[in-house]
Amino acid sequence: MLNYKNYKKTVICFLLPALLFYTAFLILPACQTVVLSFFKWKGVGGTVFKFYGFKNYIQVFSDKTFWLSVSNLVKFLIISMSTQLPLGFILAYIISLQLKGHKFFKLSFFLPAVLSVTAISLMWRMILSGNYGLVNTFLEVIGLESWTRSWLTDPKICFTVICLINTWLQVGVTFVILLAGILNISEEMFEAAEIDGATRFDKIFRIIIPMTKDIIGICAILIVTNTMKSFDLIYVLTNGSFGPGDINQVPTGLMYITSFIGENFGNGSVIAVFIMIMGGLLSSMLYFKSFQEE
Amino acid sequence: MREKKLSLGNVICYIILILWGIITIYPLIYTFISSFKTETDMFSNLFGLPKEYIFSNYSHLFTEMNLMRNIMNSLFLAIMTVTLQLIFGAMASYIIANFSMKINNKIMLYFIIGMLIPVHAIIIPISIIAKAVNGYNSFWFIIAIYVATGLPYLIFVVTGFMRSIPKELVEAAIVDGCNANQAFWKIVLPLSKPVLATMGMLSFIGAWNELILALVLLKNNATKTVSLALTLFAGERFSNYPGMCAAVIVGVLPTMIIYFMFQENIIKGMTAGSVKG
Repeated sequence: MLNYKNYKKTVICFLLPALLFYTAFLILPACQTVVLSFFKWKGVGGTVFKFYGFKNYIQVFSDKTFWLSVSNLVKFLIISMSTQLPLGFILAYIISLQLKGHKFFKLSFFLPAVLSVTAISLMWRMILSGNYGLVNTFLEVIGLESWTRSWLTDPKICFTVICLINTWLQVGVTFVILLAGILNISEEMFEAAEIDGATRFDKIFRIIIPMTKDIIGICAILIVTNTMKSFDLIYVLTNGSFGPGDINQVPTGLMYITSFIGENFGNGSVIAVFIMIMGGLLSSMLYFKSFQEE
Repeated sequence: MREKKLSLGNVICYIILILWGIITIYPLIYTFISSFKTETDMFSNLFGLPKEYIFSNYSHLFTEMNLMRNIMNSLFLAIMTVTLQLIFGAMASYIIANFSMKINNKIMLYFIIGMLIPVHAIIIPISIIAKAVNGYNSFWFIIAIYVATGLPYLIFVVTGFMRSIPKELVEAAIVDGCNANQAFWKIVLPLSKPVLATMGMLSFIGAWNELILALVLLKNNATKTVSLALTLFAGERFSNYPGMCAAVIVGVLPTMIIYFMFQENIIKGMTAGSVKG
């Protein structure tokens, strides 16, 4: 290690740009969000700031739409967790067997994670659309006409459908992380188990799952934080409305609509603080854990 | 754990692989094929190949929608973001990884805090700052935000990599008469090329795909990105399915190409924060 005292100038010059950008455009705004949540302030051009105490908080917490967005988020988290973890695990396990063609499948499974969410959401909007959508037409062709519906506007199912599209998008990330975890388990462990006559299920439940417990935990936290942040998907699938009504509303969407459509920045900031606290708490569990290990 | 024999279990595994493979890939292939159809062809022949291949869906995007301008905007934003982020990030990581200071860990922790802040949580103050500094419709302003929000993860990963470079290399260079600045450009930077390339591609993908900041900050048609153009296109003429399909393909193509060229690197980079090794 070099002693910084001999190179003070270099040290400062090298650290400064990153620290400046980061502080000015990420840390300070984050603090400002908290401050703003205590002020009443209308419109981008609006001038009058008024200290408002906890009134913004009271308004937001007594708003039915806010609680709808929170309960949607909870549902979103439950569906994401219960689909992405098992599916990601199954796919990772199968790829780890290194059957013929596993490289191709691995490449395909991860692909959605790098694509533009906006473009992909438009694709799904077409595929699921009521008239001439791929899914409905397919159901008609195979004689299941009674199953056809308008997938993205039927209040009974539309939010679930959105959650599942999100799973399609995100499962690749869980999959590759778990795959790396499984491939890290030493070969000898499996060989020894095989000599002892272990079946496939013994290997999965007695070796792989206990050995990848930590990584499964990391995936779970990652799923939660990614789900909390999803905005693009629902924005595009609902054509910017998060509706019909507010039926597909989530906190990020409500923050956007309240602030930038409704121009109520005070209430918007309260929701932003809520997102920051929830997201921050959960991802801190992830990053501090891996930071400590180093 | 290589399984070679063709057992019943392996057959079931193949069925699952192929099933999820189809669910993942078919929608994209379907969109690609449909983008070469006419509207009547698409509605009468949803599943098949085009009766005749037409390219007007694509050419319309460029003539009527002027998509080229959006593509150039997105490219400019993405390339500038990558460049600035890599330079600033690598410089800071170099200091954190190579210099013994008491506050090193605190600086690292300070950057890590940024990974906990979702961009949705800062967008209201950002819009206020934009108002104050004339940042609406300004590429430089939005690039600054992209750089700032991407730096924490970049520094986290790059510092991890630079710590693994033997310290003796840097020390030897300095004994040989390099100063700390030259040691960075001549020794550390060339050795960090792989991780910087990976992180650069990731930040390109991130900037190309970004929506909410662009949605709030870029109001002028001349400054809109591809993501924004796609949402506008969907609002105006969603019923033109083949046209939409072509737009979707243009939207996913750049990142898809990068992914297919550098697959393993990208996968590693995206998961670097969660698993080591």
